[in-house]
Amino acid sequence: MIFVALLSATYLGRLFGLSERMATLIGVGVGICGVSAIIGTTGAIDAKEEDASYAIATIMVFGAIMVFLFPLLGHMWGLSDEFFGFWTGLSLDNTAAAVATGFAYSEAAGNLATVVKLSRNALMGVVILIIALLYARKGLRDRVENKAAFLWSRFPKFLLGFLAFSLLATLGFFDPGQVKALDNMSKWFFLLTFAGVGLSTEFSRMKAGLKPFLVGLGVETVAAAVSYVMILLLLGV
Amino acid sequence: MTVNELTMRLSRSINLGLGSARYLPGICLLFVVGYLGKIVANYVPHTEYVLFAIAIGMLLRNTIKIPQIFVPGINTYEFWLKTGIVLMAAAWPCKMSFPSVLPACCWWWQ
Repeated sequence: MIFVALLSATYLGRLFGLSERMATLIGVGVGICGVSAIIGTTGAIDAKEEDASYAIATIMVFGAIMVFLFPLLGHMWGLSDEFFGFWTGLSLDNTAAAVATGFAYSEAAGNLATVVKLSRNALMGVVILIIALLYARKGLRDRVENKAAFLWSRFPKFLLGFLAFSLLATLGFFDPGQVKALDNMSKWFFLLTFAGVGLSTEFSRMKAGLKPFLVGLGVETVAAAVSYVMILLLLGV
Repeated sequence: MTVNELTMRLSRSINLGLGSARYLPGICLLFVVGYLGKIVANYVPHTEYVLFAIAIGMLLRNTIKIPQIFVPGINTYEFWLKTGIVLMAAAWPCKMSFPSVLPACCWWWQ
């Protein structure tokens, strides 16, 4: 399985002219995502039975703060669109917030942030599966009966649409006019999304308390700092 | 087709119509807030409208009580996000030199 993935990835990577450092960057991002997920889960065990809606409210407030904070830092430090896109896609854990933050900087940064975040989303299932398998080996949880089903249940299905569209576009299925129309449509949909992010952010519902919020802030700061350094090292900007 | 079946079908399609209609007010609100963000951004140089769309949305949500009629529509924003991302992929090859990032991730996992 890994062999097939490796082979096809190397082939596709070469086909699309993917640079090695880009691949490594994305991999590093997944690593960070896994770490923050684990820290987040560990923190969550302490909290036992939190109301899901309060937790969601906290996540929303968090994302909204980042949407304003990241571009501010980016402009202050004079980051390039490429750098900012990677940084946002790697550090933010809420997809809507990551997309919004990227586009709050520039369109190029938004595109990159979206794709980096999507690849993290796609791999989340793999990370969870590996963790589950490790736990199963230690006898800490039941065996994973059907690995494919396990992965599929955690795979964000809309990514299939994304892949299908990018494949069709790569094959030249759309003419330039259609590409422009679809791109415009996507921009209007994003407009609805961003308004929705704002309209769903309610400070008073953040009743999960200050502690989870601070834990989240700490994790986020570490993730942002680590991915910043990683991009600095790998992109050499 | 019996009359009974026909009425059942009719009521089902009416339900479906009403079902989607309840999203309309909220979706209109999303549009108004987003577009307002665009207008404001025109007056402030060197800014993207995203910030204003979110800020106006947050301002509304946290200062007034949003009427229940808008709630179902507001909650559709994740659907627009996903659809927007899918459609965005169509323009991808023109914008980026790497249309497929996923294989790279698989590669890293070797």
